[in-house]
Amino acid sequence: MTSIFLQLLINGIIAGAIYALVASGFSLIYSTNKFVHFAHGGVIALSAYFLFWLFSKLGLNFYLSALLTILFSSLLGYILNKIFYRPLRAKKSSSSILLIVSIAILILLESLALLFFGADVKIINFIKNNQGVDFFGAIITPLQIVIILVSAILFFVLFVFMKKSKIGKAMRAVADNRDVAEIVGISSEKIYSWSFIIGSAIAGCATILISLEQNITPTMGTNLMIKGFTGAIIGGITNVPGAILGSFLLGIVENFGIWFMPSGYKDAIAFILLFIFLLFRPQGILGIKNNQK
Amino acid sequence: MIDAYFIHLLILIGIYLILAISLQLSLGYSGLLNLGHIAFFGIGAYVSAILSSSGVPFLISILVAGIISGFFGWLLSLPTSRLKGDYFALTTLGFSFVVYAIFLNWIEITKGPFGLPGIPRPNIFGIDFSSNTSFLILVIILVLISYFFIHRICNSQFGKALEATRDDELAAKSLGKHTFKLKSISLAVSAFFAGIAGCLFASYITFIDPSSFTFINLIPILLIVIIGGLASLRGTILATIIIVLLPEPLRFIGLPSSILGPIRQIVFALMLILIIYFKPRGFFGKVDLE
Amino acid sequence: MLKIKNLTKKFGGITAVNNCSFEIEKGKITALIGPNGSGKTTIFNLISGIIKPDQGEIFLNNQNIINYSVDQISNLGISRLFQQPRLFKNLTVKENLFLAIDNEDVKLWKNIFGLNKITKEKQGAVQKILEDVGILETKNKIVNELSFGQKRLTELARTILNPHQLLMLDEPAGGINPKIKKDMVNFLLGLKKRGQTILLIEHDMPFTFSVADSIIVINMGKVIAQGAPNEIKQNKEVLEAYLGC
Repeated sequence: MTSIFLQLLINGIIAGAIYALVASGFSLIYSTNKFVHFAHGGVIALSAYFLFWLFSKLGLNFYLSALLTILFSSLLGYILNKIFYRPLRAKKSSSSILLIVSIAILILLESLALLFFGADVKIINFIKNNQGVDFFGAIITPLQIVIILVSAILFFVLFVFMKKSKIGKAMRAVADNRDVAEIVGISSEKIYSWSFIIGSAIAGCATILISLEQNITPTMGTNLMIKGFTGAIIGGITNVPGAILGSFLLGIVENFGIWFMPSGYKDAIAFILLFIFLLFRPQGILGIKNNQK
Repeated sequence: MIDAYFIHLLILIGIYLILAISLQLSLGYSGLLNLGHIAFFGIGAYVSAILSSSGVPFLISILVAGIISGFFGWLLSLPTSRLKGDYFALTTLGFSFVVYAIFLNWIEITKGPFGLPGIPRPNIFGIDFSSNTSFLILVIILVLISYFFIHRICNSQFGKALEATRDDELAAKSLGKHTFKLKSISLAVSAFFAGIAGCLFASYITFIDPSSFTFINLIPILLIVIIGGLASLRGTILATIIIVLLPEPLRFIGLPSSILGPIRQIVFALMLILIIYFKPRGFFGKVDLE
Repeated sequence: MLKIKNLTKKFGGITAVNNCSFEIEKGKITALIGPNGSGKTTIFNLISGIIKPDQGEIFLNNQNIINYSVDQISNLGISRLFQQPRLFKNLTVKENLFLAIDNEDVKLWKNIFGLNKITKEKQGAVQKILEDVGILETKNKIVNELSFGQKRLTELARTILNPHQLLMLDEPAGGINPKIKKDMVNFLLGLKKRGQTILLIEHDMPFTFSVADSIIVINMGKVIAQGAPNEIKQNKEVLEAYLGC
């Protein structure tokens, strides 16, 4: 019995780590820019295909491909902000408008992936031997261990970066109060750009790990985005630690949930949680209630 | 051959038109950015498909489909009434995810990803609507009824009260308007007609599966409402015709459907972004998108 | 007509309204004055039902209204003009006003069957108020296209057209040029002559003193003085509150 419990817990943590990788970049962008950048999922999807193209099609070294992929996603995020969001922000567009545009961009990016690579599943054949190892009765693969470790390190680095670095502090200032931040000399446009660069770079890391663990499909971006978004909402979308916490909670609840119901309903659990939190506690577990009009 | 194709397009325009004017009621006139609208389309489709396939007469199926969709619209309005702007949008979007997940997983009723085949064409009082031509006539009648209803609502004082709620809800309340009720009715009616459109869709294609009811399918409809212009029913008609017809020439270039599909999505996504940036009022809109 | 009793409202650590009590007499014009941030608009919001008090009661004709919603309070007879413009900007002046006349517009079926038409009476009422306020020429214009002054007057017209026993006006003279202000003084006095009860918030002292029968001075959420304009002018505490000496 305990080994089933442990297995579900481990599965939950792995799922949670993946969602947290998505949610952390996303909530970094949200907290700084104050709108929902749904297209973050599209950045992940397109980056996955980029990785596939470099590694499986061009045959480049995996680690080189991975590095280039991270650069690609940062660049993509930066460009999306520059071309689409910045002009709209200049026109004082509301967050609802930016939401609609970001959904359109998500669909645009995924459709591009579908167009150039087709709908069939792509696999990254990098890891030859990924046999599960026994861990107190539960099974975990080496890749999964790597995912948990890498994401933990990444979150730690992100945390330190946000707390100590100049840009990190500036981002938190803009997130907190943009007008005051501008008065003390922080250029909010520059910070917005940085938030996209860093947030999308994290997405790039997420892409690499996720592509190895799961397979690449054109709709993976949408699915991951919804899960990451749900995790962020549950934990508190306005702060990155909250988003990470919420994502782990989501992963665990999902996996324990299917102990009681058919596994197809796993996604439904996430959707229902999303719906309930948006209705009754939109600031999430760690967030502060924002009395916006 | 061309005739049949033309009739097919007209039917699609009819179905999309009902979907679009119902979204226009909640978005353009009431200011409710209901990104879950496609869920009501789906509920109507599944309800009528299940009823019709069990032998229930078409007129009853379509009414029940509309009423059940409308009921869910009303239900959705209750807890979301105090949500503003993008939180309302995201919550309604979340609702459509939940509904989609139910379509996909409640296999006993919906057969999940396999879908429901063999939905019968309507047979009303002995008149058979199996041919596309006769089906088109049915669609036209329903379009006229739906348009008439929604037009009457929007152009009456009720419609003005909805617009007041959209423009400044607090001011509307301070004039004594029970805005909660106004918004609930708006969502319920909007959902009702989306359900009617869903029923027509199900009986036309005679096969439905969950993939037609994902939020991606909302994009063309949202695009229609914005391009036509918020709070303009005329604009919606024009925009529906344009959006339904626009991807069609691509068919004749001889591209395979695996390419056509994504290209269509790309075109719609780009159009949505461009129209929001360059002409957010669309053709005939009197209201800015907010 | 309106009685505030021990009203208290806190926002986080700040007490905006502090055990405030006063009464408004029917048929008179009463002004609430006080320095910025003294709690006047908060008191208005509490009366309108936009926010709920932490303590205290509000009586409209001896009926306690603190648990009613905004629309219910409006229907009980309180009509409010807001400090910031709150017009239905995509509708015309005429349409804004028609909405104020009654609430038959929320009845769906009545409207679908065409049983809620704009009658000659309603058109007449709108015509009259536009004439009285002086903006008849804007009748068919979309509110968004009006000047600030015209918008303010439209909103005033709408507030008055809304059936009421008590008019609550938050800075009716705010941002209006001096010529129109003089017309407004006469306009408000005219309303009083016709038996209207008015409670207003104002910062413009000459305007207030020409119009008010009774003045209530609020500072830091409390009533520090109440009385006729002449008394208030001489009141030491009031001078201190305003000038800080």
